[in-house]
Amino acid sequence: MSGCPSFRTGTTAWLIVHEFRLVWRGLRQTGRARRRGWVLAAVFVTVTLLAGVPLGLVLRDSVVTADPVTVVIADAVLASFLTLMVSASLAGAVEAFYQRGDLDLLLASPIAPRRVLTVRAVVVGVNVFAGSAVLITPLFLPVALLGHPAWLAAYVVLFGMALIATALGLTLSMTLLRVIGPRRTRAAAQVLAAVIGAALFLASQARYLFTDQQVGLAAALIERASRPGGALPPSAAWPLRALLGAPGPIAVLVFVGGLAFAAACTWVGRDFAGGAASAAGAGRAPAKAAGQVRFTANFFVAVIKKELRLLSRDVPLISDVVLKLLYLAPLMFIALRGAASHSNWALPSVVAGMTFMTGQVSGSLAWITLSAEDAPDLIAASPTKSPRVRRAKLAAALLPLMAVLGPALGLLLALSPAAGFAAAGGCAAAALAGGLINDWRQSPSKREDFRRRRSGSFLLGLSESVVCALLAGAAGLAAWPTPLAVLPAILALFALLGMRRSDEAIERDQMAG
Amino acid sequence: MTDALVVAGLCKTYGRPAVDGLSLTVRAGEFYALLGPNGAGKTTTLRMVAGLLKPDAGSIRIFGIDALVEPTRAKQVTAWAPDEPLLYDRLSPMEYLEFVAGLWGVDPKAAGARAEALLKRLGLWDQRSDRCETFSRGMKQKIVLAGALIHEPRLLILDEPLTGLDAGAARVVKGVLADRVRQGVTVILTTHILEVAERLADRIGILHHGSLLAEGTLAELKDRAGRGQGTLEDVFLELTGA
Repeated sequence: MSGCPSFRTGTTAWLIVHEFRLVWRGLRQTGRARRRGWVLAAVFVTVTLLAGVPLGLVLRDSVVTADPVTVVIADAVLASFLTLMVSASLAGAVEAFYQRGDLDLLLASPIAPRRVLTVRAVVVGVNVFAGSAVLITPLFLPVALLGHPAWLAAYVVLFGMALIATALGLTLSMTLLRVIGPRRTRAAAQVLAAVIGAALFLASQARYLFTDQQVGLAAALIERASRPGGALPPSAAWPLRALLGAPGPIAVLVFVGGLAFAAACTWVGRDFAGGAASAAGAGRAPAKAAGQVRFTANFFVAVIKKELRLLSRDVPLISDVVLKLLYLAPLMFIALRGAASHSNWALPSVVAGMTFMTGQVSGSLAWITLSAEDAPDLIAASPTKSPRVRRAKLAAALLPLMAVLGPALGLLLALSPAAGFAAAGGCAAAALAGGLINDWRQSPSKREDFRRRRSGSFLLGLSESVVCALLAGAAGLAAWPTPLAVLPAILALFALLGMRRSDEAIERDQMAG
Repeated sequence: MTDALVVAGLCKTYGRPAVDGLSLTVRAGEFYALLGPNGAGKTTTLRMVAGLLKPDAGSIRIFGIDALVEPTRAKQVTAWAPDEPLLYDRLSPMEYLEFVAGLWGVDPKAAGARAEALLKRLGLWDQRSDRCETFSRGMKQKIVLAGALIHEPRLLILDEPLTGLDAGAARVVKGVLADRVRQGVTVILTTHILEVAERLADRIGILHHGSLLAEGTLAELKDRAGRGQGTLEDVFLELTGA
């Protein structure tokens, strides 16, 4: 292989270099990806300079003691990180072992399948470690360098955790593959990632969901549990001690991680070739399409039925929407608390949040139905006029949203009719705006590109967010209530009209071929 | 009798001319094969006829309907099956046909009966409720064909309909197409499998550099190429200079 002459072909090291070359090229493959890389680098540097360095200066002389509350917080943070890492490694394992197109080539070669598996597992592990390290570095590295060099041990802790997470991800992916099959394993990995993300978000908001009294009670309970003979064992302090640079806990963590990784590679490696083959071949067991087929001569009904079926069977989309809706949960808690305590800002905040989220979800659904059409030729060759099909697709995108938002709006109406009406108006406007923007500014693409839809057009994504934010502001102010709500509403209308394109222009683009 | 398709002076340019002043006529009830080397403009021509591409110049009449002025009326009697069988992976064949029938406004009762008949004829009845995502290219090709036939078009336009089909499936598809022609449907297809054109087509058009190089029955083309005893392949290679 050119480019890596120092390794003998077919060895593990040679394969690892090959894998990382692919990863590197994947990162640099397009101009857009390069631009995104520069943007991320700029964000990284900015956060480091504006937040990390000041934080490092503030904490320079601080001393962290292993008191019970700090121990529990450290344990919780590391547990959250480990959960995220497991989720990432599961997704990575599914991609590396069952989705990459070059697996047939590798398994058909004289290289032992176990070696292929080990190399891929190493790549998954390195990716998981790198992702976590990048996440903590802007805030953590300045703190460590400016006053606590021993804390650099946190990177070794992350490495050990990445080994454990990769072992768990590998084992979980192979177990799921055996139990539910490759297709559902892929879907499960996506759903799990979404649920874990949402759960961590909810956990991060916990402080805001509880009263000061409840938080004080939790601290007292932790204090009691950490006393000799309490529920908190001395080993609970190990993660914190490892983070602070204690060699014993670090060595144990890395040893356990290495052992788990080796054990997982051995266990998964036994059936790897067979499992991968089943993913490529037997994994194509047909899924039955639920529901009865009722022919209709009404194109509008036919389009809506087809789109709703496709939406309901799109697991990545559903997990994304569920994730966004789960983000609303803390807002609803805040609303309930706000209503109970007669807080005058809580409900407007919730109304604004709901409105913004509705616009975002609507944009996602409309992008799927309008831009990610699988058979555009079929639609274009039909005698149904393009604008009418587009209206039907837009309606199909908004219908599930209405069904999901209904209960939340009902709850708000019960809590406060004014806020409920403001939310209903705001959500309706945001849903329509999100849908219309994606109708007027279609970017034909594949359904699988859903998660990258924003990268297709920076301007489109920005405009969608700006319009949704303005409408959210208007709805929040309306819930306050204040006539100032009209201002952002008018701005949103102008921004929306600025995005408008005529039916003829859209059709012309579609016909340009 | 009105001709099924009359194309006159059709032009389409993508930097260089893809279709260059093409004129051709396909009679009603005819099986017409459009041949040509890669890049000759076959697919571009058919996409313009199907209303998927706007020509730069020229006219298209389908059963007397000006397809550029009244595209909806023209599409009502036309069906298009592309070479890439793009359908909805997460729909079943029956759900796909339900959708297509809805687009063309086919009476539900008739659509149901036709869907059943088509899927049975094409050997897909047992898979009618399976999602298409697991189907082979050949199976997808047959589902697209079923979709093209469910509204009983008068003009059927097929771009490489036999690509990816095994021998058995290809025979079934050829049988279905021959039956439709017998029932009076006009079929226009492009193919690289010259045996198909040789055996099925009433007339053959050979496209080269975006314009019609030769047209006629197999015998007429052989005469023109001076290949009385040759095959269509010989004629094709002779005329296109390939």
